[in-house]
Amino acid sequence: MAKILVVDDEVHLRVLYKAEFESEGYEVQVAANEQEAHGTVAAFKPSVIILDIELGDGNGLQLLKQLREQLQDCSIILHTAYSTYKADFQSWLADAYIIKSSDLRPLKAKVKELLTKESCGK
Amino acid sequence: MMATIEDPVAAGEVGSEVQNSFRRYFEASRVGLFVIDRDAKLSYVNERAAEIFGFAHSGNIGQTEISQLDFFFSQSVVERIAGLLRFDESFKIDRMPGTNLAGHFAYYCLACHPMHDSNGRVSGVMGIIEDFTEQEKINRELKRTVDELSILSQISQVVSSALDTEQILEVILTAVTARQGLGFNRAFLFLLDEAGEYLTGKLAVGPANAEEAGHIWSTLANDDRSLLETLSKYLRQTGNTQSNLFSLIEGQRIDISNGSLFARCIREKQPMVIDDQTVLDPVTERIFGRLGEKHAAMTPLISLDRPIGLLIVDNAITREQITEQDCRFLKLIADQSASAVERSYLYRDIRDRALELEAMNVRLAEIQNQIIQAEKMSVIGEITSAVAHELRNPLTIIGGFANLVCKNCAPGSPEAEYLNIIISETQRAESVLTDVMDFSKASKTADRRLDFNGLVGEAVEMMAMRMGNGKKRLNVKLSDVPLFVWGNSEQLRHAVYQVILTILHDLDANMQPHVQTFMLADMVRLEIHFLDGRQKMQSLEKALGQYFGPGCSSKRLSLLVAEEALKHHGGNLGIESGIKEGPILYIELPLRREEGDG
Repeated sequence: MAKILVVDDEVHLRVLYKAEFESEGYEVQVAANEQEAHGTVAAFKPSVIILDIELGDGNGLQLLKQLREQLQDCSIILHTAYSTYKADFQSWLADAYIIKSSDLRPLKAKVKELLTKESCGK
Repeated sequence: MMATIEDPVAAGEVGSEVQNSFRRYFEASRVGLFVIDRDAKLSYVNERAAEIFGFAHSGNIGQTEISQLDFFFSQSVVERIAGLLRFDESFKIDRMPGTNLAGHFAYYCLACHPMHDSNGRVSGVMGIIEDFTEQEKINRELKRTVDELSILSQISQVVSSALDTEQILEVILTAVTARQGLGFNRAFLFLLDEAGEYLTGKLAVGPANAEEAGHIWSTLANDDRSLLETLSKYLRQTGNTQSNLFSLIEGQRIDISNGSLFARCIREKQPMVIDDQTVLDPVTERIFGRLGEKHAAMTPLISLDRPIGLLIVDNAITREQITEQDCRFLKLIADQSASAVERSYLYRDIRDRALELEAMNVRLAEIQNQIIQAEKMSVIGEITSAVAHELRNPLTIIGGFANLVCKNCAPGSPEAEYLNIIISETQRAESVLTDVMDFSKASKTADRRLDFNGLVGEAVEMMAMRMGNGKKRLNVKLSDVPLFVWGNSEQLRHAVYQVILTILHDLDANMQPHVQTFMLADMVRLEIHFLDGRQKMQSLEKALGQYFGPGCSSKRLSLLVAEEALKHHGGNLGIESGIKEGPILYIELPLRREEGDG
């Protein structure tokens, strides 16, 4: 079963994504901030990380860089309310950039695509 | 002292009181008087006339035939005096050169009138003669001064109407060589550099050889234009004056810190005549050797007590001697010209400053406009961005949960219908937010000066992280000198990164491309060389073909976007064939120089 880690400071969004992806058959864990994310990845070993950029007291792009160095084989999707970060050089480290929307189909499609790519690469 | 007269005027006839009175008057006269009798013999000279003719006072002039006066009078004058005895007509000669018995040359004024006896017949000739040499000398000096003033005035008139340095220099040299001007055969102008250390050959006017001189001067022989007209003509035709002669001084630099005659002339601010007696130092000898003439004059160009150049003139074709007087006048022209040149320098500086100021004003207006726009956009952008972000999350949650709940509702039920309304309205609100945030995004990044090496370094580092360390390595050699470009940092970063990433994505892992940056003319350039074997080259060319060849693919699209961004910044993206190493991929952007850059 593929593992997904959702990092977002909005509690309701964490609840929504967990419910949605678990209903799709994924194993999901959530983290509210940078610290929780670091605490989870080592043990959980996610295949995909859905990462918010504005993390309240943390910076998602910094976390992206750290996670990228730490996890070479993990796909990371930046999931944010801002489209502006797409032009930020640091955001290009992510495998995908998805604008938050009530329509979760693009997000789910991207997760599926990345997991398929990953399994093909192995 | 009175000259001795053996045969006094009209001997035998003189005796009356009146005649004695006349005689005393003649002898005391300050003008030369002489009498020729009817037999064409010089019978009387007064003291002044004796002095003019150079006679001794021993009285040996009596009965001298006028034909014997040919040492003084020309043959034509002798004939005119003799003719006076026959034809009874007075005559006057205003300027008559003559050399007397003592060998003294002078200019004279001569008037001769017939004398008549009681029967009305011509009995002799009364002559009046005066030495006009001093007067002639004064006249000549006066004429020369008037001529010089006229030349000076005409040159002044022309150069005062010119503001361009080149024009003024050409007019000056033309005036120095023109027949109506100073009339030197050739003129060479050297200008002093700003540091006042070197004279550099700037302009030359005159015929290159005797043949050319003959051609030019015969053409100008019938030219009756005044100096003013001639100079005005040259002023209108600036650029045509430079002759073949210039090759003699072109590129010649004279160091004036040494003891050459040039240095002395500049230092002492005085003109100088160079002739056979002048001892030439090696520097002066070298230059005059090039000119092929060792008789010349030179004068410094002095303006406001500061030397700005040196003028050399010669008469290499006519071999006419250059006098001190010529030299003095040349100095006068040179000094006046130097003032005009100095004025043209000032004008040029003022004009350049004005242009700079104008450009700065335009730039300032642009920047002011940009600042106003940027401030407006920045404020609006920040507000809209903040509001949109705050709305985005709640909408995502509302719509997301509506979707989740809707999936568990029976299709067609009122609950499902209501939830679909919520979902649809949420999506409409999100669409509005997207538009608002796109607007705010555009205001975020302003153009600025960028370190191109920094952009490339970041892109390479990012690419290494993205593709996994150790998988594909780049050999990078960035320029040692800073390379600056101007533009939108995000767009240019994206372009550089996208080019490297796209090209290297499909590249064989063993191929190690070389990336280098450098400056090429006014552009900064990034080149990616592929130095592997020819076999791999073929696959590389094939791979590059899909990006740069015809057709459309998603990868090509990425490069097209990058190319557009680069072109928008005045640069380019392309591929060219290397001599040995196969294709070279390049990015180039205009170099941005700023004050203070090395």
